[in-house]
Amino acid sequence: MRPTHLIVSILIVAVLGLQVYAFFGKDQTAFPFLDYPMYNRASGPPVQTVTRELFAELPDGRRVEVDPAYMGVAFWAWRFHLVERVLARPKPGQEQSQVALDHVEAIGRVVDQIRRREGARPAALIVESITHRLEGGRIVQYPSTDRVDLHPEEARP
Amino acid sequence: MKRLVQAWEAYWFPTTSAVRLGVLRIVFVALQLAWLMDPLSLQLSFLEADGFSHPQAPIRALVAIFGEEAIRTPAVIAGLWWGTVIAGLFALVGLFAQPMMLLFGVGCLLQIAHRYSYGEVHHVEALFLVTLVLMGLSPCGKALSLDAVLRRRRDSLASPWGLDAPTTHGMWAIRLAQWLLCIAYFEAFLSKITVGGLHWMNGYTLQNYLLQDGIWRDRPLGLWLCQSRLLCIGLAVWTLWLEGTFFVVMFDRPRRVMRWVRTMYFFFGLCLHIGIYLTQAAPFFEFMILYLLWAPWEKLIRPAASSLPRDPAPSPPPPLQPLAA
Repeated sequence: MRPTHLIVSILIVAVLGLQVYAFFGKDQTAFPFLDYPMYNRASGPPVQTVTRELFAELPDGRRVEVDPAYMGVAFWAWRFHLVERVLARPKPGQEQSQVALDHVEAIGRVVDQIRRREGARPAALIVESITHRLEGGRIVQYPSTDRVDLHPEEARP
Repeated sequence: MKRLVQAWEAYWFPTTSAVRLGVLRIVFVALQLAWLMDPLSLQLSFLEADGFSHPQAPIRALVAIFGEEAIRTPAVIAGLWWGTVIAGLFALVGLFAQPMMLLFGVGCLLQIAHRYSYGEVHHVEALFLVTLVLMGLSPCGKALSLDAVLRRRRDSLASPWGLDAPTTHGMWAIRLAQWLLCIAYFEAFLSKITVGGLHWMNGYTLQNYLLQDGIWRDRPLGLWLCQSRLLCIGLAVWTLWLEGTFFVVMFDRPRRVMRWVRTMYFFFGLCLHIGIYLTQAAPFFEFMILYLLWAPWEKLIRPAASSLPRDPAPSPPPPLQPLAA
């Protein structure tokens, strides 16, 4: 085999190996060699999804919408690392102590950002949710509201 | 062992022209520059974050050498962006094509790695960027390039536009990129089967995903589709079949049958990605562009190339005159 062919052959094996390894390693920081787990979870009935909006109630009575752009994060980070944790929704298999820690940390981050942008500590966080459920061939909406009153300790940076 | 080596050489290093590489170089670079590349404003906007939250491997390597503060500056990000664009323009016209293509591919890869180092990672661009880098390591400027024109000016025997210039490195990058795409599809299939199991085809799974993306990303077509469980069962089975067997396109024989099989797979693949975009707003345009790796560019280009202006070979020197006696 020619030397150039040998060098390229090693490269070929290395690149293929890295891509195959990506599947087993599941390392989402090994860009560009990533696994492809998109939409891999199965689910059963009911067919539903929940949308959420997060608001902060300020001491002067104003309501501020705390969306991903307000927090300076991407949508998925906002939804699953902030809003769900503000609601203290546990993930499957998650211990209650970790849920509580995540809850406090998420509230702290939101409060910090509101203080930075509004110059005031919020009195409460309000999550307005809509459950969109497929029923009898139609999509039916079920709104709900969760209120998290902030104690002074939780509102501390 | 010798047979194995010979088979390996015959598969990865056949003697071909570099026309296919040349066409793909022009098409891929043009698409990346004109459509797919991040605008500079987007790259600079990431500097507003406090720092890297999930640094990707290429960024970690740069941070280890230069430090995070040295990289996360407007000058470095803008310099990388402009350097990549300039390298891309050189690669597009085929001047110093191979090194410029390599710089272009690495530059684009670093920009996306930079974007994904702030938390959210998507899978759309990875394979296309690897393909650009691989092409930069192969003789992508040997044909259909200014390099080929200049080579002909220096050497009258060189092939016009490099159309017939033989090389044993004309296929390995293309074949490797093809295999990477097939592996990606198969990994997506394996992931669904190992995590979701057969329940992935229960219809409810796809209904839930279509409803979620239809609502979250405002996709009326997805909302319409999610209302039929039977249709979702069919689509789920079809998706798993397509992803799990896509590698079949890598087979060559029987030739006539495989031509039709490949056409079918690429058609279905386009339907899959366009459908995903319309119903779930997931833009896998780069995957569709990679299907061009299989196009018979030599057959398509040669008739068109015959009308390209042919640089006349330099006139031969006048014959030596005998010295007067």
